[in-house]
Amino acid sequence: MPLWNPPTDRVSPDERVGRRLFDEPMLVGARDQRSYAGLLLRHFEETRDDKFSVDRLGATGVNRKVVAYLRPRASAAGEKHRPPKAFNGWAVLTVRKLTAPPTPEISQLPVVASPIDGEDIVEIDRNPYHAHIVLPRDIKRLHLALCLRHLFTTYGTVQKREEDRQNLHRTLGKVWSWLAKLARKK
Amino acid sequence: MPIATAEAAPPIRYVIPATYWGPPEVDVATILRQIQMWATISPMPSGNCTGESIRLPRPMVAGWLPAIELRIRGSIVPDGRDSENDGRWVAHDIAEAAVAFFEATSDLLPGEPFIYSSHSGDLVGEFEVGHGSMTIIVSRNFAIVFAAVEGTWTEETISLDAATLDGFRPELQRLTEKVRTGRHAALESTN
Repeated sequence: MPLWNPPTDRVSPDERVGRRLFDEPMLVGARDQRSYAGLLLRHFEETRDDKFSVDRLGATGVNRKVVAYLRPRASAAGEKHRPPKAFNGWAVLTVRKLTAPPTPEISQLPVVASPIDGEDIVEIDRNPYHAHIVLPRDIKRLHLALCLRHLFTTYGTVQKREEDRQNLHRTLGKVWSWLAKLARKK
Repeated sequence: MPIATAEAAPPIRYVIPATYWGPPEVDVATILRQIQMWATISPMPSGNCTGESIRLPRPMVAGWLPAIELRIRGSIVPDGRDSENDGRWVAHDIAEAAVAFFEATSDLLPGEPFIYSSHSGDLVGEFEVGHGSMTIIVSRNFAIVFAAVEGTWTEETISLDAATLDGFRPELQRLTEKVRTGRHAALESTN
């Protein structure tokens, strides 16, 4: 599969976009609580401006080469946080679910290609797959974060780091060979 | 269930330590003042309620409430470290608002919440429920209750004063029932 070269003039409704998931700090007094399997609201709060950053991960599905290209860039972006945050993968959604949300309470959220490029940008910060969702200014940020999380959680998937998948495959392989050995003994 | 009254269960009691000794006093007011100065005050089973509020039936509280209160109060940002807060702490007023919210509603919520701080400093509580999810965001003066069940969602913003919270209880019960079972709760009959 060749590395996808996304068009910069438009974002197709069939494309997959991913929101980067970084480790988020827990409350100091709540370290004893049970873990939460869902996506945190923090992942969907845009703190910088009214542009909600996403990565274009593929034309009709998640492109593995694009993921391999973006992973070190996402990890490097996590290192820039103070304290640094580990990159854990992407929450992935089809663009159509944003531009024409299936939930009537959520207004249309246009997705715009915004590649990060230029002579003054170092290689690790370049991102031809960068896009953003234009957040309506008249709607409260918390409400928008809830809308986005609802869409990504209900209609999307989570693309974990490749290493996690490899570890899972390795574990499954070990379990499989153990089961095969057990069957041979019987 | 019997309702505690101020007459039957005073909210506090004075315990005079055995080591206390004072010169004989004839003035009752002075004796009372001395007792209040030396005695330790301990809460009675009726709780830390005023005589007026103790007459009102109080909601039951969930078993997880003390743990959540400890977690919230244990996460209050230390003095002078506001600028360092990257999500590990919550502001004192938000912590108190969150404790008040959970005290008023814990009996109606789906279970023990997973708590964390939002980027904007609010306290977020997440509930994992069979048919959906519920998120509560407590800010300084208001709370947002968000419930999502199989693609549909409900979002309510409520003020954190006691009267509004009390009035919101039936709606919260309906939302909790909805995320638990995937159905709307049966309407209670009224006479």
